[in-house]
Amino acid sequence: MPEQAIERVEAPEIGERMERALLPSGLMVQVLPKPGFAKKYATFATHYGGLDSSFQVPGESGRTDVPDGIAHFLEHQLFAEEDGDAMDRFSRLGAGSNAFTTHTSTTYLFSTSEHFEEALGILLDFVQHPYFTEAGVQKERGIILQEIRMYQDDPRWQIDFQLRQALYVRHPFRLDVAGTPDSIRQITRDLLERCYRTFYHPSNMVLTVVGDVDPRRVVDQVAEDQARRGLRAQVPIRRFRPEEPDRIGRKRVEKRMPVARPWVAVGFKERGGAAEGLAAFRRELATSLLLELLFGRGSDFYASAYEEGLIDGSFGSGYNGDEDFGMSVVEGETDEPERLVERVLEAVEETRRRGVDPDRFEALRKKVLGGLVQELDSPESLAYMANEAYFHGHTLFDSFAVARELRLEEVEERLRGHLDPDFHAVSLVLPEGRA
Amino acid sequence: MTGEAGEFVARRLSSGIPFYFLPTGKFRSLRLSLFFLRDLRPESVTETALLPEVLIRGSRRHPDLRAVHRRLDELYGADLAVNVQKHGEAESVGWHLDLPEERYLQGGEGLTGQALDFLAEMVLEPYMEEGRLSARYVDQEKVNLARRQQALINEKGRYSLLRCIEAMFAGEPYALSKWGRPEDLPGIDAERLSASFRELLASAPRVLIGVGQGPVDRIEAELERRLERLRPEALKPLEGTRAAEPRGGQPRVVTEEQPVAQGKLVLGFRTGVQIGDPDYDPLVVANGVLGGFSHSKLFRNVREKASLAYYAYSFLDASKGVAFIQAGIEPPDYHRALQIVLEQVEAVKRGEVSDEELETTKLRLFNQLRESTDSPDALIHQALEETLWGIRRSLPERLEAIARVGREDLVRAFQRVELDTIYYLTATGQKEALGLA
Repeated sequence: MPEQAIERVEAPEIGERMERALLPSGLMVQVLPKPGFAKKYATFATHYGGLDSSFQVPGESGRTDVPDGIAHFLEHQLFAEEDGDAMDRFSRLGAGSNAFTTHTSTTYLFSTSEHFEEALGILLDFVQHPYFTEAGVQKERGIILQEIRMYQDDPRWQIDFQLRQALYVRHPFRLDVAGTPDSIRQITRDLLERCYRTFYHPSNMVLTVVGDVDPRRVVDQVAEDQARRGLRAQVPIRRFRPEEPDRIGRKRVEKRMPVARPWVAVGFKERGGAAEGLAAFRRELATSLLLELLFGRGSDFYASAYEEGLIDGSFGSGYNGDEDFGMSVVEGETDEPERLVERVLEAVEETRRRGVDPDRFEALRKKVLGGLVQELDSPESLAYMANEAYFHGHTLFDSFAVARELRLEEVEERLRGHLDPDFHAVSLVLPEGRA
Repeated sequence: MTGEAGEFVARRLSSGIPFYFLPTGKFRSLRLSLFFLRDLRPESVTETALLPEVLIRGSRRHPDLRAVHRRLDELYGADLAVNVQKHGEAESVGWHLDLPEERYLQGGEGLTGQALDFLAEMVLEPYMEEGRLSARYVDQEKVNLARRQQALINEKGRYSLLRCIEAMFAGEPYALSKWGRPEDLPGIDAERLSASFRELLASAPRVLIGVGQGPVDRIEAELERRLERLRPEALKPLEGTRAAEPRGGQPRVVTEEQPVAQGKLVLGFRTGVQIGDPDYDPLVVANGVLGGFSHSKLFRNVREKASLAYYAYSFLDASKGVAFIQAGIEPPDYHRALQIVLEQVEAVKRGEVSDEELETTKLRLFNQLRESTDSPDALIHQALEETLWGIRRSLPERLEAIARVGREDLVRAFQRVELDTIYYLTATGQKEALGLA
């Protein structure tokens, strides 16, 4: 086997580097060396998440539609093996393993200080070697049902879910990544296999290692694994998303739960259309900065609303979006949800009239940059950021460059184009028995 | 620049504050925590809970939240938090600074010095009016704290654990929550809170702990100058924490109903084993076998075999000598889940632990210990606990202690463990259906 070429990407200004190789199978391997770290952290991720329930299998002409929750169900099911469970194999090496599913990706991971190569072998093996049985699928359904129930009791989760339901009419961003008790009952072994074959092709995946490891050895080990499996790179998978109308679905969704006080969130729908590559990250960063400027702890809004007792430390804001969907969320616990919503909208209107204060923009740009540097101490966030960057066609370090170059005009643009009061919705969780 | 995280360097500032610093090249940020320690007592717990909320509101030069946070934004998003942690029957009030290292920031020269100035200002010169903490801030934060106490009900897992602890230790300090007691709030005013703060600075044992690139001499010199005034008048040593010794008799059962989708089962155990006890390391291993990991008996039998729960695990609080099991289950499954959980406990007591379970658990614990050296928070927490319990062990010593644990040690330690309380939060109407009413 010829030696696999490795590309080295340097970011000397933050003291980091990455070595990476695109293998003939289509799999990208990224290694971020972290000298001195005991932990070696590896992720194997597929660009396949809760949104992908309608797609075209490469080589087929028709369109395939499947019940919701399969990506997440696969995440559970892949750990099953002929003679036990992949998690146990990691455990026997002392390694901890886990997995998680988002709207757009599924990530398998392990963390270990010893026996790294063996653990990497297990990761490569179990993710690429599905073992589905009717009994296994049946058992996993019960566990997933409990997972869904656990989230249903969590008011923060409920608020977010309701908001997506309100803002979006058709786009699957409005759904629970785990599916519903009904949709998971429809998931069969055959469906799992079909989705697995489509989305777990190496061309749709990335393997990232963060830790004190030798990049050459990692790349060689993965390249050898891929050569053995004999898969060749394939074309990208076509995914279908329903046309999302340029309006919101409902102005307001509420639910009563056993909580102490009302919890309210105001959400603004992403309307910018699909953002590709670095543009999606730029948009996210500019929006986060904008929200910090409007609603962060240093904002006029926070100062006055806090003084009045309208909000407390639970208040916060954030942006959640990617490609063709997204929302800004401003939320918190309050005794006066109606007034808080009104005040949030007023603050948006007022800033839209006045524009962004250049001094605050500059201070918050520093905060964004400092925050990214702090992320460098977390192998988990580094790996996650590196994977997301790859799925969007750039590298982790481009993200730092974007933060350094962020301009006031981009933030202004997000203020005008995205934080539009005509495209807001309200999500409420109210205490039981409240009139 | 050292690559490998080694051990903490111990120094002492001229004001008498012990200073532990771990110089390491591997992190891109500097963490520094200043802790003051107090006994956890009913008469002080609520004012201790309130204090951080008022102190973070402002300083002499940055008199309100907006000024404080605008300053932190300018400091490249440095984070400064003040909070309370419970450690057995003691608690700490800690100021925590988390700062990106200036060398990685364009235009960041001098950032560390500026951030330390700000830390010192927030600790030594909180916002005062007529020599007292602001009455307005105190009143506002009393309201916020009352709300936070009520909001504990929102997170069902944590809420259930707190309720179990309350039932187990009614009337003892360990039953107190770090958020304090609602009934104390009306009696606290600016005068009393200011006195509590003065007492903290004057007599509470204190320690400074940091992790960062260093060098330690430079950080020490920077702190020395800024914290010179933090000289205690007379230190009041902590009284320590009594171990939760088994009390004998039947476990108590506490049930509660709420309109929840998932039931929360919590089992509280008295172990009598605190840090420093010869059975401590064996108990750590026993807990790992029972419910610390995904290969453990609880996860395997409650989740994987019976498909009854998404999570089922156990953990120790060795500051007090207690252990807990938590599981989230379908509300009607109480009896079945409880039976399976108790069978796992009995199996460990009988020594039904395979070589593989024992070895796997040890390997997982080794990994956990080693990996904790990659987290500044975990390193600082470890150093604080060592200060509190007066037991310092190097990483190799801790690994060695785990390695030495044999099956008979594990069984001996675990036989000391006694089930004290079963707490169950279930859906409305379920108590009667389950025969628990």
